[in-house]
Amino acid sequence: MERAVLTLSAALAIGVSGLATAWAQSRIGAAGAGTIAEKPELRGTVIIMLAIPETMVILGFVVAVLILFGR
Amino acid sequence: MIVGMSKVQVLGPRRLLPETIQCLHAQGVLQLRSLPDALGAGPDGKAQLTLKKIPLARAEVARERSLEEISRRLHDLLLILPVPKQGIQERGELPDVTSAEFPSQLAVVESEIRALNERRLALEEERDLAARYERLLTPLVPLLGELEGATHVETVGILVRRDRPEALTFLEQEVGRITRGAYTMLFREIDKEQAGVLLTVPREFGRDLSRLLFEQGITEIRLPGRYADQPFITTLGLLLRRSRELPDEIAALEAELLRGSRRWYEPLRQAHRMAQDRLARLRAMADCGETEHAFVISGWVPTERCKGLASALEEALQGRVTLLEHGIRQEEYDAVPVVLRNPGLVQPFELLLALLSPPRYGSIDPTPFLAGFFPLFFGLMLGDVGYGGVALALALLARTKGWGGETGRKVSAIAVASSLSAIVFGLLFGEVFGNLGALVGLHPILLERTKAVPAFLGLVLVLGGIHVALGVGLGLWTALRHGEREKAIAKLTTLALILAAFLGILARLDYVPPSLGMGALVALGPLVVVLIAVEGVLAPLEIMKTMGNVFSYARLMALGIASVMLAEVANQMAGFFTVGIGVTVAILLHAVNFAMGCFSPVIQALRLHYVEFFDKFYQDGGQPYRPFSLAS
Repeated sequence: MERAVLTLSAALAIGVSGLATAWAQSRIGAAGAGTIAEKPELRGTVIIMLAIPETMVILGFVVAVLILFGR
Repeated sequence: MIVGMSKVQVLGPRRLLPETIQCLHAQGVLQLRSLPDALGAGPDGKAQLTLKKIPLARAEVARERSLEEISRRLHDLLLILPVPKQGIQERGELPDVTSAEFPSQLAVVESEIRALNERRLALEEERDLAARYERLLTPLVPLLGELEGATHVETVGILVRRDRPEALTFLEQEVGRITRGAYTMLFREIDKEQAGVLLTVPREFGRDLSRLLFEQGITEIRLPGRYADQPFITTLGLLLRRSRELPDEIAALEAELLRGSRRWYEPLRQAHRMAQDRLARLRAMADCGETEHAFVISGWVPTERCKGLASALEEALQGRVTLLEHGIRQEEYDAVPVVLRNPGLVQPFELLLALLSPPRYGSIDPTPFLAGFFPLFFGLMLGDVGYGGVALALALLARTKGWGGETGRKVSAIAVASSLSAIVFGLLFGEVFGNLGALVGLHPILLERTKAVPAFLGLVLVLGGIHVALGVGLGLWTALRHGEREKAIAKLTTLALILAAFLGILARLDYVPPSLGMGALVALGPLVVVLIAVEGVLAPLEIMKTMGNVFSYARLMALGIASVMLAEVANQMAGFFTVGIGVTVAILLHAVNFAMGCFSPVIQALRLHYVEFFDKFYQDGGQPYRPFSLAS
């Protein structure tokens, strides 16, 4: 039972943060594509903006790893 | 590193200005400063009003306009002509761009090339039209014979949208009503969106049919002007015949254009460059200042090139022109152009910096750090001898073949360094295409990524702490160099906080004595107080941000584990099928993993630099160096 709860918690940690990242990236990606079309010189800034929400899923992944292996 | 620049002024008698500009143009090292920027305050604090902009004479303005016009025409012609690859035969001759006869000679060449191009464009348009309707026309060919003799009917071609079948039904009903059933309607799909319809009605209903199509907003098939006066049915036959003839006619015209290009491309290109150079020299006059008898040209020159420029001016103008070198004040740094220079192995990594605006003059060029850490991060994420080997082979192939020119050469150099790093980490992790390393006797030396997950996480966080601390250290050095005391104290305190937190964690893991860890934790409080005193109440947020920056390096572990897991899945898939299918599926999955494994680590390694590392010290907003140099 405890193992099942741990596994579910780990799945939630990465699943929810993955959804949040995907939602944020979809908005930033759409805006970024428009930005690059009009001002190609801003592509560096757009790449940075696009990569920023990935922190959420990565931290979610770290939490999941700690739940599964950190005991 | 950022090359040192000098602020220079070139002074001389007014009459020598054209020759001086010509000499500076040929040397190609001076970036001109426009006069308003160059005008400074005199000893009394007032602007130096005696120095004024040099106005262009009426003849010079006319010459500028004429050169602009010639340059535009030459540019347009060069766009039309194909670039000749073979040797030039019977090279044409053009006079100097500034000569009186140049425009007339250019007009002759221009009319010849434009006539050829217009014919080619017309034929291409006709070919495209014929190709577009060929699917509609081809099945109708057998019917053309039957309809050709029928002079009492009128045939109309229309386009309808396939997603609106009701429109076609409505059209058929209306045509049936108008003609009382005396019509034929042939339907054919053209592409995914459109369908073509051929409608034949008795001639007396032709006008009513046209009105109906107009009212319903239905598109009639537009045909080239040469077919305008012919019956539609005749036109269809002609178009089909032309679609067979046109490729040969276009090929013949293109061959003729290529012949013209072999003769004229090089002379036109040289004339265009000459015109650009003359224009640049005329426009440079507007950046110069003059007094009653002298001229002043201001600009920026790399310090190491100053002596050479002074000698060239001395030689060309027999010492009648002087070059003065001035120091650059810190408040002028924003206007100083930036030139980066790095050793051969580091220089390709300047390409990664090109995604941002250049570093400000007087700040730090981060290219050497990019050259060190980018391959390291890439290797940690990909970390596989097999994938690294494939990436290395592709990079070397690209380098040998010269793909992508100069940019391709730089990209391949970065790829070679990164793939070598992936191979080294592959050996340390004992991975060859995932867990196949064990089959060839390879075992993990450092750690096994799939099993030692916490250790891998610790490793990348330590690396992240070092990287962020290095960024803070560089920020400290910049602040000290610019005499920014408070900023320097804040950076030093942040550095001490990172060290204290690091020692506390090491003590918790029993890597250092507990007393040392306790001391570090006790020091955290006073350090936070100092930071708040220097940076204000928002300082704790900055501390949290720095900690977040360090945790962000966990992505190195996340992507690394994802890469090795996918590789292992690919290997396991091979066992689910027969040998042939299994190997094919495994190769396909490895190919997908390799493509993802090359793309994702690049983005993530760049992000770690741009967001986590550069944030601590990088000062952007540098001006690119654009010297006044010859185009020809």
